[in-house]
Amino acid sequence: MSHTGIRTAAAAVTAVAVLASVAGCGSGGGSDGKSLRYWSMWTENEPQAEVLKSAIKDFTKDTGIKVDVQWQGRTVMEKLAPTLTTGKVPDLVDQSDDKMYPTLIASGRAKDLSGVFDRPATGEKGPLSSKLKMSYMDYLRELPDGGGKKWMVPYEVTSVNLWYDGADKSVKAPATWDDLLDTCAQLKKKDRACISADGDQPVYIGWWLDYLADRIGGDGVMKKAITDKSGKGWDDPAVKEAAEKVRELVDKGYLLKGFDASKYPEQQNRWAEGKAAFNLNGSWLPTETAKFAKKGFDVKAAPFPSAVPGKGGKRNATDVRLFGFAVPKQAKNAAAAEKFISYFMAKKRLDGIASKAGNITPRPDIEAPPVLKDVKEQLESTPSREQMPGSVTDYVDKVFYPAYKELFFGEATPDQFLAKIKKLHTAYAKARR
Amino acid sequence: MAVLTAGRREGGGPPALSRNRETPLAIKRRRLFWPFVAPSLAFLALFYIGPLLFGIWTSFHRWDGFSAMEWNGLGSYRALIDDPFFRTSMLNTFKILVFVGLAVFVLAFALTMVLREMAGKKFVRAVIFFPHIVNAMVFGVLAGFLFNPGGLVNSALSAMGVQDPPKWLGSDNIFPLIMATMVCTSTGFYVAIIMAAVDNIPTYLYEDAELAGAGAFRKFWHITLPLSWDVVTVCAVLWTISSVKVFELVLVFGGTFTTNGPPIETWTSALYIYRNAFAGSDIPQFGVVCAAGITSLVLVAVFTVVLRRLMRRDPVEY
Repeated sequence: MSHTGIRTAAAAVTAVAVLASVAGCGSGGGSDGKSLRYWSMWTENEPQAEVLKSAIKDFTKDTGIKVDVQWQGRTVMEKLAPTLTTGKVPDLVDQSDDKMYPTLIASGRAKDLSGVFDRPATGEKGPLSSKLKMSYMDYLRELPDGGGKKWMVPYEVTSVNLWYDGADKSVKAPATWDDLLDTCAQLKKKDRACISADGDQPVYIGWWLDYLADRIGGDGVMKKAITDKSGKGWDDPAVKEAAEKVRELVDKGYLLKGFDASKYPEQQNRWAEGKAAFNLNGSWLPTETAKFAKKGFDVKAAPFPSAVPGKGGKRNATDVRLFGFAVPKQAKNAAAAEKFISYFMAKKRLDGIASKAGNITPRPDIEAPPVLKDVKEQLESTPSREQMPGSVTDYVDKVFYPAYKELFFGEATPDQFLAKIKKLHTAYAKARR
Repeated sequence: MAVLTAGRREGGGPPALSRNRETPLAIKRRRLFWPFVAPSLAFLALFYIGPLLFGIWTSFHRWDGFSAMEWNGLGSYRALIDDPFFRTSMLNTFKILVFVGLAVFVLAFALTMVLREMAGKKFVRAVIFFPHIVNAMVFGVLAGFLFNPGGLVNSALSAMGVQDPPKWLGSDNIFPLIMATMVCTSTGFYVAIIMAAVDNIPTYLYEDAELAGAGAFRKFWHITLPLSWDVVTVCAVLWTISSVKVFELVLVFGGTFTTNGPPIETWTSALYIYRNAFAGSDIPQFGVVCAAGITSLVLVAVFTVVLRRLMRRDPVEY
């Protein structure tokens, strides 16, 4: 072999070696029923991960099934997508229902978990479904081809509420929209802001319109507006009335200054400092703002004002978002994965999600952490609905936010807002046909 | 380069130069051509050309990333035409390319002129170059601290008695702020390159011009600019390429990364592609995403070629 030949060979060998090391990154999983692969939405040092970790340890001890867990973080679905066409799909994943939808549900790649609901949780009597508040799942979208809604076993429930400081004597939970306006007017007289909002959070400010439209015209109003391709849903008078009410808050100066130029989470932190009375936010708010809370702050949650006189009376549904497990259809160890779900959903293990991770669980028999007591009561006594029903990130980016922020920032009248959102909606529908 | 030359000679060299008459060195060089070039070529094909072709192929299909591809013809390109925000994103990219580019070059030349005769110019050059080393994300995050309603800038303004400061991070103001940030962070890099070229211009030319009564602008127009033109041309291409890739600054500047992206009015073409492909709760439309990528690639390629044409001059020998 000449020198050149040797060099050529060496180059080729190097190239092959590099390629081989690139290709060799993945690792296969067995299918002996003695192990399962779990990809989690949590990162390793989050409280939820700690709770899951200790459950996994006990699970392996009790059943002999090894759990190979990878803490993938919030992008777990993006990482899952490419594995769905290979044999290397994990056996168990978790995320919120809306994040799981495009990857697992829309194309029918999740397993129907009815069996888990029908069986008792490990060490308990009676089916799991009898231990959970099953109506939380009413808003979930169905698997295609009549697969039903039981593609997810939720272990954490979040909701959207009106938050305030129970220790603040001049603030009380508003029962009706007019109560809220009254409280705001009283505060305004004392030169205090009523509501804080981070204007750069499309969905957070969107909840005002969404909840109002629900209270005025029912859950179907926003769903039709968002999902009806023709855009006619935005013509519903309930949407216009809701928009007028949102604009009223802005025009009367009830919003804490800076709402239209803030960088999240500035304004919600100002709320915790007591600069504004109310913040419409998720049940994660107390945890997020804990270190900014002023001394003696008594975090309380009120339902979104539940009645608009003359319109819809006592509509009082609560926005809910579920976090839970799903099992991909091609999972090789689906049985082991289901076994783990049943194991984790037992009261004594799921309790960690409330007591250690500070969240509400779907089991009424597990006590909520103290700051979320109100929320749990509210969740269990009202129907559940999906926030901004039917919307996806792309729609919020391209249709809802560009139009709605002009209304919320006081730059557009309700009519101008509706005209713009209809125009953007039509363009969006056309580009997506 | 030597290797390349040897390789070319093999194919299209003059016929008189037959193999037998090649020097031993040339023969060795010729033999080494493929062993040296092949690995890079393989990588280029595998990681650039292959994906590019795949991207073109995908742009003619509907594809969510894992189901079977479905032929869509020019549907994705039509969807882009129908999407008003694709135009906004492309327009933003071109705004950065042209307006920020012009500002950067005007400033870079102005600074070069000032620095040329300044004491301690190396130190000053290092200082203005420094922002280029720092990751653009840092400036994006910093902007939040500076321009929030309760941030440093407004605190300073209210201390000076300004009661109603501008809405810095209001969605109309974010993009101009982003462009201003880019001017500040990019200028130093081009000052460094242009200064290197200007330093090579013999001083006697400037002395001569001064004797002839030329002012600062005349000296710039008749000496500096023509004699550094080659470098400016290269800089212009570098700028074009880097401005198309602007991404992380916009991503963290406009909003908060963890929950939502920046407002759509600030998207550049790179962000449009990212948000459409990996935005979270939506079924990815990789066909449209690839079409957007290919479209912006073509537009930028055309722009670069036109720019090179327009800037072509005969080199000045000195």
